[in-house]
Amino acid sequence: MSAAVAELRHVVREFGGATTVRALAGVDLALAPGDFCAIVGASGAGKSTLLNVMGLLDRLTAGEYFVDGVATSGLNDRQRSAVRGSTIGFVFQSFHLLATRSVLDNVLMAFTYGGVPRSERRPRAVEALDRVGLGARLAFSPATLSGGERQRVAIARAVCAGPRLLLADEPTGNLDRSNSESVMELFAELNADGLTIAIITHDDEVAGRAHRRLQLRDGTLHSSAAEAAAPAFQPSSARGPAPSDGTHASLADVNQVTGIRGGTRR
Amino acid sequence: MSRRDRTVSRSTRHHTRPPHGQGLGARSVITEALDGVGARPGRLVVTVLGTVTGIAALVLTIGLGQTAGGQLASHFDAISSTHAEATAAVAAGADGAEHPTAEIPRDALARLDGLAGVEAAAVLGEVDIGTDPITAVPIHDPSMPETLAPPVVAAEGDLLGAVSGRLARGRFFDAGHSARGDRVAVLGRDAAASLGVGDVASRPSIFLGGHAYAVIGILDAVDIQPNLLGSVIVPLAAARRDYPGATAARVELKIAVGSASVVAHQVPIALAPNSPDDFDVAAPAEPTQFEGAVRSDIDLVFVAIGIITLLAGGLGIASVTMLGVSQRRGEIGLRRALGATRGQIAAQFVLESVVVGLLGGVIGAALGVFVVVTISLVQGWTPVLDLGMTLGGAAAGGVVGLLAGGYPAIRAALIEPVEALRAASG
Repeated sequence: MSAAVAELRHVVREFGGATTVRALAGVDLALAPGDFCAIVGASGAGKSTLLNVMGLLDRLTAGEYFVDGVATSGLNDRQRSAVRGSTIGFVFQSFHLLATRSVLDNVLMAFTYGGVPRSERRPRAVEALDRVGLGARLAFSPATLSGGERQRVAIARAVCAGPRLLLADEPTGNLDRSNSESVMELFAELNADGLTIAIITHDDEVAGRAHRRLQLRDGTLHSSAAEAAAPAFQPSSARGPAPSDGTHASLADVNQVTGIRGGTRR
Repeated sequence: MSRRDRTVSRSTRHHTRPPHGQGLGARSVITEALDGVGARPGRLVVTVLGTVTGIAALVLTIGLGQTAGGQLASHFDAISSTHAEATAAVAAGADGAEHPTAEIPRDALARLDGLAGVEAAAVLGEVDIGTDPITAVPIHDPSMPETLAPPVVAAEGDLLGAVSGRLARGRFFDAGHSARGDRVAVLGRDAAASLGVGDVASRPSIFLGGHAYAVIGILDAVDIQPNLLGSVIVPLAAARRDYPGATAARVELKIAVGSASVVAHQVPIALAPNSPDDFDVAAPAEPTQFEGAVRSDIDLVFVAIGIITLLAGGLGIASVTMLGVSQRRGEIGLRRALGATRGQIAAQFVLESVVVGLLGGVIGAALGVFVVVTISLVQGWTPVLDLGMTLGGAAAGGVVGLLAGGYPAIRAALIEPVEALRAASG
């Protein structure tokens, strides 16, 4: 087994102020190449903080985060930006498309800060849009697209530069049921092609499409029993901090949709 | 760069990047900035207006100044090509002040007569009358307020011809008056007004140190030596009789067009064959210094208006860029997520405001040039515009944009990506 694409070791993230809030209280998580992991949890449980840390958008208070086996805590802003641009793709709940630019230009933005040669940019962007089923809408304004289509544009933008890790923060939060399903189908396809995906969601059905399902509660990760049965990438210490909560683990067990996992895992 | 940093870049390059193309993406950032500027055309127009007005005012002021200066110079050229003035060279004396090294010879006019290129000649000099009053009535009335006496100029020869003067009334004194030493006077327009002399038909007299001088003419206008209009002009012979110190200080010449260099060479030789270096021949002093001084004050006002407008334009760019930074937090967050460094975010906003400033500068400079040309056309002037000044005006707009964009750009760069993304989605 190759090294983890992303690995958190005892990660702590605190926010200062009058009283210190501990958003992440010692999280251990490893994502192997090809992993498809859903992180669920109540509002304020630290889901977004966890994803921001994994996306190098936020810094750690303690612990270490490795991307492709390389520790990131010592990197400066420029180096972190370079890792973000080359290795990590982001999908946001609110899409973050620029309304003044065409669908194609929005996707091309992914190449602005990377080192992809100019001649390769447009073919790769068009290919990514073809893949998400929007190859015929290149010149459209995002404003004319439905929510599901906008999110697919955002996904094309996230993957066209060839990231190793795709991070999605409530990607279906603004979508209706059928659009959610088509977006999740897209994630499953990308994962089937080998892309490592971590997705934050509060939707059990969406979480069910992932291979692994982790519950974030009070700043710590809790995995399901099914997770424990496939322990390859889950450090045992992740379950350590909150041993008392057996209830949730069994709930997560019930919700686990193992059929999809078996069908798409390589 | 530490060993670990190299490891990161090597591994990222290995997985996702072709071996070349690790550039900073300067070209991309410029493209992004241009797109950013063009994205909101309505706002762009409003933002650019201040810079356009400021630069236009500056270019207009400087351009009009140059154009008017050009007209003045050509007018002055016409005068200086037909007039000349010979004076004794000066040298520093024992007292430190400068003194003429020679006197105008008494037969100067005879010496200059018939010289090639000389059409009219006159010698003249200011007469020091001490504290003598000049009045139009013979009685000295102690209750009268003391008034400043107009200067007295003694002259001989064709002064009217030499300064291209025109008389309002009467006549000028001639060689006969000079030969006889008649006490006659011609008053400059302003001197006549201050002495209360309106008409010369009745031969009014003015009293100069107790001597009655008959006023025979009033001078209305001159091309050169405008101070004559405020003076009392008397024949040199009469002045010498009443004020023995009176002497000619210079020779005024009306010369044929194209003869300036010949005249400048020959006149000193004619005046002093043994030491021609004692005399200098030059174009008369510029007659419009006073007007020039007034105009430079007006220029200053316009330049001040231009600079203030430009400052307002810069503040406009700064505040609109600031607004843009807060409205585009989501975009900033997205760009950071896509791999933009703080420096690239700052560069984008600075470039955007520089482009806006440059646009304003170019439009403003063009507008200024257009107005200068239009005014020149209406006035029948030749527009005089310095290319460097015009291009500089356009560039100044860019500098304004650079200064105005700096602070908002730093603010944009300092926004944490997490904050930026949260603010936009919330």
